[in-house]
Amino acid sequence: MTHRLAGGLLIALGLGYTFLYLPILLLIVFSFNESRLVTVWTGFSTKWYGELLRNERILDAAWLSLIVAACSATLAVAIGTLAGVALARYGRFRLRWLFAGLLAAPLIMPEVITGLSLLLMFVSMDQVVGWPASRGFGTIVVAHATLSTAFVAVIVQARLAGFDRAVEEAAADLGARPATVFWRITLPLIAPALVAGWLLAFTLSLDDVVIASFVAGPGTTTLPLVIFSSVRLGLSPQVNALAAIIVLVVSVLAAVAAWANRGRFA
Amino acid sequence: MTGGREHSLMRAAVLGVPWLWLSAFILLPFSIVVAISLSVATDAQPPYVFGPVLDNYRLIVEDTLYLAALGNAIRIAATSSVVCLFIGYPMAYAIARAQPRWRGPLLALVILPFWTSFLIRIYAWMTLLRPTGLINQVLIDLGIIDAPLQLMNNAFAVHLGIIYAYLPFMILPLYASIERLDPSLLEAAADLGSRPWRRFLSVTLPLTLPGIVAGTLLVFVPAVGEFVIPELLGGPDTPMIGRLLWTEFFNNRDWPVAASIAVALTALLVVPVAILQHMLAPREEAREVNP
Amino acid sequence: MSTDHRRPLLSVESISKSFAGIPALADVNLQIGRGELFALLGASGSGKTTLLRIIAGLERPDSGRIRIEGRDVTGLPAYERPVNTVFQSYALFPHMTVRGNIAFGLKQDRLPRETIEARVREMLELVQMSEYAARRPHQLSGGQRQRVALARSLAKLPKLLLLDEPMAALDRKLREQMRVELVTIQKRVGITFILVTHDQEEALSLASRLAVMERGRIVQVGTPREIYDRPASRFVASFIGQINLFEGRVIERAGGMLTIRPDDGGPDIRATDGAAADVGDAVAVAVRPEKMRVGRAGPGANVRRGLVRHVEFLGESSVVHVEIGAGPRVRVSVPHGNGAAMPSTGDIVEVSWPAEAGVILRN
Repeated sequence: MTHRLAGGLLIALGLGYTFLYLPILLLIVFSFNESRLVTVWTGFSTKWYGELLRNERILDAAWLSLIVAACSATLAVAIGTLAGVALARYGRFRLRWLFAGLLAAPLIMPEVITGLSLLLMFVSMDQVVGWPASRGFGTIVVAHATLSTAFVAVIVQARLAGFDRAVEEAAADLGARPATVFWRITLPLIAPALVAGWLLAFTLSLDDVVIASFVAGPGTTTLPLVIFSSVRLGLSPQVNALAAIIVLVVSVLAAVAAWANRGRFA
Repeated sequence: MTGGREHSLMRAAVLGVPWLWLSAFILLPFSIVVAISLSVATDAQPPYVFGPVLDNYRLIVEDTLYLAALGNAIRIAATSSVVCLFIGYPMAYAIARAQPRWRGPLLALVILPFWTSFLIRIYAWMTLLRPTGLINQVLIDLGIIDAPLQLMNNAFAVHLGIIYAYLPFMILPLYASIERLDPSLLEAAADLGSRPWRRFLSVTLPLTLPGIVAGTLLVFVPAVGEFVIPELLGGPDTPMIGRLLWTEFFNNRDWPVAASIAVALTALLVVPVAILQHMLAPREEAREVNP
Repeated sequence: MSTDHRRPLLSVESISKSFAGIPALADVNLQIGRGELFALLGASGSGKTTLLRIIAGLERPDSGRIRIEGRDVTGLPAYERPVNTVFQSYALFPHMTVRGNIAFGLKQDRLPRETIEARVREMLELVQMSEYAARRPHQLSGGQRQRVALARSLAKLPKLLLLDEPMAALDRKLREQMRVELVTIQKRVGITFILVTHDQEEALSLASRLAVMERGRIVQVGTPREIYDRPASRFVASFIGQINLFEGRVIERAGGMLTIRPDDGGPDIRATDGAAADVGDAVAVAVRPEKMRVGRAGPGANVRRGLVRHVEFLGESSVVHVEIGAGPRVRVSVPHGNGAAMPSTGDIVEVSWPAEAGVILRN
């Protein structure tokens, strides 16, 4: 089998990547534009970066988003791991279909429905049991964890399915109690899945605007909510600068991850 | 694994915690949505009184606004899915047939945009498509047009935004199924006298069908309920059901109608997709080891 | 080898097990003595691995009891049984070194560190893996992994070591070498081994005793010699080694000698088997190829004439396929090198076997 791609395929690949990356690259280029009119080039400047870094509203929102993302990702990994273990290891437990269905619901449900239903639940809970008295940090964390749990569970389940179950049996056979098997064998073996799941959950939370719009209170504005409201009003050179920073950070992280994983692809 | 009380306790915890979570934050919320969809809107706080009435469902069926928005959303999502498939298949095929050491980086380049902000990627198109945007400027500077074209706030822009945002979701499952395809099958077909195009149609395409279905669903389903893209790139002539739900809830404060749209959309979209996925999913051998 | 059958180390009592309504084991009884190297031999799906997993505590039987030294362990989970297992896939912990793998079981018993270290060292020496102590499983070859798995299971000095198809993942040459080594190690540690295998050659060459399993039942238990020479049923006869069968009916029984009239119309067959067959019973006379010879044997031997259809060269011997009239095609093993002429395809030959060579199998 030859690995030389036909010309047509190369062109398709080239055009595809151009389509995916050109808008982002242009966005970054114009973040260095002096003019407020984003798309009219008047000269090189880094002033929008300066303005961005002095914009308290954006900085506060970014900080809040990072904390929400970290908390919800951690929660999602904890619950998603248990759910993934249940699906991969407990066979046909009672009501498995309902368990799997509820777990997968946020994967296929439009975000507006997930957001709406969580908000209506929080409102009703507040009426009935007095919690949550106000919506904000806690409700966003719960909502994002609910969204991400399904993704974590899928990743963990796939990882568990990929390794020899006899390894866990061998540990039990050598005298390890069920909890020891879980901590000493299962968890270390699915650790890469937990890391991947956490990062995915973190990104989903950091990226979400729809669900946060529903469940955030008036005082808690995450970064996507700030971007969304300013973009709705029109173009803003600060958003360009922010985009450039995000792309830079993500690229560096991706490069680091690729470097850390080098040689691990069998 | 067989074994004592400790094992049962652990099993109870591993099953119990997710069950509690799923019940509290998925089952209960959706039940409340169903209850509110059967309620009557009022000016009180919260703005509904439980009926149960079917008025809201009657409204969304009888008022053409809702069905039109649903039809429009389905049409836009379907067209965008097909375009994604036509762009994504050659790309996925090229990546899967590239030298093994290139596959990882090429795939990473597909995934990378997903890790950057979704909003910012849509914003990037806004800067390009606006009347004073880059595309119009270049066209005017080149003398191709005199006045700016209306590229934004229309169906074209919504399509473009969906295709752009969801293309990676199409490529990934396609890549997975093409990469799995055993090249010796194609060699066997060639050996039996099949020409390249025929080989593609009679071997590659049917065997990568699961990837095609998965990719199409991954684009189509979220696109139908999409809110951000029609909100930022669409206009008055592109009503979409997700945006309508948003408007009913936030602008009109009509919780019961918003809830009934959610229930109807779930029934129309989520349930068929779930059944389809269930049918397509490979039968897992869930041998119960612990009776 | 001394085996004490009266006070067995392991006793399996009326074990039954089914998966989703499909029976995997049906009323299995078995007793294994101290110091035995016992083999469970059967085709895939015969229930041998299920039986092994029930003994290990990895599977719970639907009914029946498992006793070790007389103590009922049926309800004990795997981690509380004095039994260790070498898994077919070896199931080494990929995130631990060879040393970590071997020490794992000892750590579960909270033994002092010096004891663990000494035992690990001892085990590494036993399986000749001392230089590889710091390696991870993925840095080892298949044979090395098997040694580590063996050392890991032996480290706890179990009363019983279970081995699930331990040679299945090895190539032929390595397999033969490991067989010898396994027997040596077993003798050195003196632990009872139970080995599951589908490979009859492996079972016959390794085991002090073996049980043949078919469709969830044990069909014969005995030493390799007993099972090879005196198979108890057609299944055992045809499952282990090659065998020629002559179907017929007992027409006479006199002083330990049976006369059988074959269904194919050939001359009567005489056999000295002590099997409880009566006149009129439908039986088969089973004869191993190496107990037959081409040419006429001494007086009193059974003789049949036939056409040589094919001669199969096997190195130290050849198998001559002879078609006997309307009867069966028989295989006769002819050793090379003793000067005897090898017949060729198309020859008409006589094949003969002494009356003691035939085993009577009842239907």
